[in-house]
Amino acid sequence: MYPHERSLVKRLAGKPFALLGINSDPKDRLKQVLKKENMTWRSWWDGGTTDGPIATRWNVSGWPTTYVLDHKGAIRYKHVREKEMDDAVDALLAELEREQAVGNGPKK
Amino acid sequence: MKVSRCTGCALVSTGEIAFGVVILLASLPLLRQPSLAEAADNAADTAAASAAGQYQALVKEYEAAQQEFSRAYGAARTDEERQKLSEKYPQPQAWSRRLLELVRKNPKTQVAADALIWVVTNDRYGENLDEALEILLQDHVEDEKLGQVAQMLVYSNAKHPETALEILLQKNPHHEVQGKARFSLGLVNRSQDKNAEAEKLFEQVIDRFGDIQNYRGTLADAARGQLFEMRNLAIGKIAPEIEGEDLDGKSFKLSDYRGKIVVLDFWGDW
Repeated sequence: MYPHERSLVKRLAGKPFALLGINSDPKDRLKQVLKKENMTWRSWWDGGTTDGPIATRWNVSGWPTTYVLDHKGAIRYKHVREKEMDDAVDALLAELEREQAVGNGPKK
Repeated sequence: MKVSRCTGCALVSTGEIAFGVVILLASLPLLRQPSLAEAADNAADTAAASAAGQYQALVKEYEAAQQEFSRAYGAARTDEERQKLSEKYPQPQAWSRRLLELVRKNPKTQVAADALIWVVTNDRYGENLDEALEILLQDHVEDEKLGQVAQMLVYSNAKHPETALEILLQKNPHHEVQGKARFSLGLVNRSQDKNAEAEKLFEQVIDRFGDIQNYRGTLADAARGQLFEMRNLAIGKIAPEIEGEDLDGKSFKLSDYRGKIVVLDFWGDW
């Protein structure tokens, strides 16, 4: 998982994209793993247990659980991993670029 | 068995002792008479005890095998060792087969019910699951321990979990089983995109079965979570705000990232 996420973040550096974690580990464990795995993306710390406030509100019952949101904040994909996650993000980036191209297009 | 008491014995004169003995001897067969029924009872008790003993021995054996596996896995040093070990994982199926034999020899007993519950809750992806479930619903549908079965059915490869859950709802009289079966049926409906049915069941759980303990919190908490997810976290919905702190205590919000494609990853290092 970590290698895939590292490569995704690296590949999309400079693009309008962010990977955000919601982490359920105790603080010391999270600290170790962020360093060891060279994780450059941000995570909310959810209180050190799987019963944390964010995971509870989002009704998460399995880990990892993923959501992919578009640039308007709408949920577009759920439970995607690895290549599925790449494809989802690429599709939404392409959609955003198309919208921007239309928006910034030559005025009639 | 009644204790024989010769209340008159202390009063009998020496000359009557012989008579007293005769009476006693004569009454022995009478006194021993219940022993015929008793013998049958005892045989049944012994059989039940031995069936219960066999059940407990099998469960203990499985738990010991699990513990031994965990110990060995924890002690393994390389991925190769772990890979090799994982092939030796004690599959519950081996125990399911033996438990089902026990069920066939002791049908319609509490041991049979317990053994079937074990199979249905532990061997949830095994080939004996549907058979065990069928016997359980035929012979033990009113058992008060079926709540865990109702919970686990959702996480199994039972062919028709919804049918089993509906049978429980119709025939099991226990509050806990009723609540758990309703919640599970809600989950099954949700997974089949029958959202209106699912919402109705979750509402019923909140209204009437909210007090029942679930894995985390109560069934009411779980049902509210399901409803929130269905109504606010479905594809196309604007994601609810997330506000919190990172490891260093710095606050940030999901809405800070509006305008970007965002992957949210609920994760833990385990």
